[in-house]
Amino acid sequence: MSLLVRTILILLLITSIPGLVFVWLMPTEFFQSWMIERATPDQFSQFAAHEQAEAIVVFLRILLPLIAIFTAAGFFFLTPVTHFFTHCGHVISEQTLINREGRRDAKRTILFRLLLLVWFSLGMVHFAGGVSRRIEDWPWYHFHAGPTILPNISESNRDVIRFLKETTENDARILVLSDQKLFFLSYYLLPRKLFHPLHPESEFVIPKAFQQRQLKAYRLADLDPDYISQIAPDYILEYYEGSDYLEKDRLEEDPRWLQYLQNRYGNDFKPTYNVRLRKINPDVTNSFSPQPEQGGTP
Amino acid sequence: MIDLFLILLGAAGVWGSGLVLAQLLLPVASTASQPKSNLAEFLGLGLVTGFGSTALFYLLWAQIGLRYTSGLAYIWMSLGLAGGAGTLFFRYRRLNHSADQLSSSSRAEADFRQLCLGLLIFLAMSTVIQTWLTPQRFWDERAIFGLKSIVIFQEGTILNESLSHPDFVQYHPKYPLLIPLNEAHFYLLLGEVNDRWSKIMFPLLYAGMVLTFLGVLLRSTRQTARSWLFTLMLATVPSMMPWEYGFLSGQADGPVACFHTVTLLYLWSFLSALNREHPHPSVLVRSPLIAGLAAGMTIFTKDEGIAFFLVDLIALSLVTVLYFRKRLISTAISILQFGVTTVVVVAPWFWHRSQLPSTTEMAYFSRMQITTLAEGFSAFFWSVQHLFQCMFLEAGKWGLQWWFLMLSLFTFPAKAIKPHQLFLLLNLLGALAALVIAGMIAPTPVQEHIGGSSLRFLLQISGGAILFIAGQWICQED
Repeated sequence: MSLLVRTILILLLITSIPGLVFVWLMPTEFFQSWMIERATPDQFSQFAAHEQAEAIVVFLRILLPLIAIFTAAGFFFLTPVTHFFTHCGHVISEQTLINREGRRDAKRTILFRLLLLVWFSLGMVHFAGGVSRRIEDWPWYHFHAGPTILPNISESNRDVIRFLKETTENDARILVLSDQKLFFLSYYLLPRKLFHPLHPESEFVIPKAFQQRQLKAYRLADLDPDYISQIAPDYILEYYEGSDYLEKDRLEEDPRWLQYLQNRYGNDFKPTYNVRLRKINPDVTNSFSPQPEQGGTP
Repeated sequence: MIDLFLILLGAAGVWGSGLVLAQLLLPVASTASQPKSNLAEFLGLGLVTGFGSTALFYLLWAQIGLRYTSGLAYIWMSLGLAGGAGTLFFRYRRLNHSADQLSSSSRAEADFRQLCLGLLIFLAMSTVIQTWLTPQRFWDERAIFGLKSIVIFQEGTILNESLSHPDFVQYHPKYPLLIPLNEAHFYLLLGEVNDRWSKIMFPLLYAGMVLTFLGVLLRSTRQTARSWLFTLMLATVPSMMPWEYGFLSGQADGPVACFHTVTLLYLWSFLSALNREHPHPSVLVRSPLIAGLAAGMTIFTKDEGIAFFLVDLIALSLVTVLYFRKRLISTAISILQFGVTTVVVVAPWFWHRSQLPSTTEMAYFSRMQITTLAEGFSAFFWSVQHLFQCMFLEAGKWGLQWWFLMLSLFTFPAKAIKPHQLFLLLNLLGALAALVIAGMIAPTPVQEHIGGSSLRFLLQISGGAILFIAGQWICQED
């Protein structure tokens, strides 16, 4: 066991000491350039490579000195460390022996040991995979909270959330007519309150990305004015992306939406889906009355 | 940095409140014959019940018409810190008197214990760090739980117009509030929403589950080293950690796995004690009580808990009829104690739930009719095939627990029919049957419903599988 412990410590030492000198002496930009050169040329991959290189360098700058310190301590306390691992080895071999009626059961012992070996090997592979996954994720998440980065939602959802944050008050009540499930909009727009009358045929339908599955939805004309009064919204938002509800002639109807998009993506930008936000004036009766051209139940 | 400090203090406060409860549930043994709970079980159960008691406190606070404020959160945290520290001090003094029992183990075993403890601490720390490396980003954690927690924090109560309105945009309005109330507690401490910090509860529940598992095994067997070995196995089930839908995310499946595993642990412990010639009365009284509390917390976390509770009751009744007919009345009283405890824990929640809208609710129980089952019969075959694939053919991705379970079953078949082991087998089969039935009666295509949730469901019952495996290999010389 002493030889095995010594060999492992030497291997750790020859990996960690030069490694830590290298990652601490070389600038982060060196690693970033190295990763970027090997990434595919598209914008996302280049960005990911840049950020992941930084994450890997920080990770290694912490990990390698820790390994070096533990290795040095291992050499310093070589005898107790060897005893420690010898004891652990003994306990493992003793505890994985299967006895039946006072006699050793060789087949079951081998099976048990094999299962444990495979189990913990798989555990290590998954652990390494988990660390690798966190490094892959780092470019997108950093240490930001969800509302800052709006993770794992469509680009159109992100735009609508940012638009509503810009144009509505914090405590606004917004009635939304849409052919989407709006849970993430609701989550990121709180304390604004979103109300969305869900079409019964869409209640249990699981949506798919990029409008691959058209959800049934209500249009403004389908709603009873009493229902709208009961919600008492400060705004009504119509937001449709699916082909069944898309009105191409009304894409640029809301000037504030158009302005928001052009400020963000340039003056030539044309919206590709319907977003119409209307402020409701509580003093004006039926200010939410549907316009004639919106008729037609889906 | 202040946020981090507050979150750590808040988590310690939650743990402290759980330790006070754990002290009541696991008092220090007063006589030599009384089974001794150990530090691992005490700390683990403290963590698990801490999150349960915090959520129940907030639920009852709102139900008596009071509002949540940051002051309230700080008071709860301070009470937890003081109570936890006091309980630990009180218990530590008592433990000192009985320290001689620890010195009886060999030097080699002590070294092995230290190695396992080091690995468990490393895994727990790594889980905390990995959890904090991502904000809440999946469907359930935002659409169901995270959304409710932010509304509760901002409105200062669960009795608000938004959560009670059928058209307010939230998924599953009737879903339980254990996770949202705990997250709201952290938001109240921080004074703002940060959906990354509030995820602290998930890795801590992972640690709580692992510690309780270790503690119960150590109490139930003389094979200390194997207890540590199987605990390490539980801690390294890939679908629990580091799979991103497990304890690393804000989904409810990790917490359900934790509470359900703790329920099974204490029912298993109860049945194995009952199987002995002279079971100690304290185990027979306390185990069903703790299991009932944990089952209540499972129901208060996610609706699957209701199915698990029913399966627990059915499996317990079957085992009782098969093995304990001579002690039918006393065993039935214990089962009743388990059931009543669960009902008492969840009663306030169900009272509140009855006032919530049922938008997007699957309403499984009302769909449970012969005609619906017959219509969904084709889903049965698909589900069974799909589960077989996930459990056995994709074991490299989700863990070897189901292979290990089958091998353990066939390696020691006689042991698998002992009451406590048979209970676990029936429980696992019942849970799988419940999933298949849910797929048959749900109003969504089975491929999407079961296909999208089966892995998370299997995660929830993996703790039971590891306990069965441990029971097969661990107690043979006991």
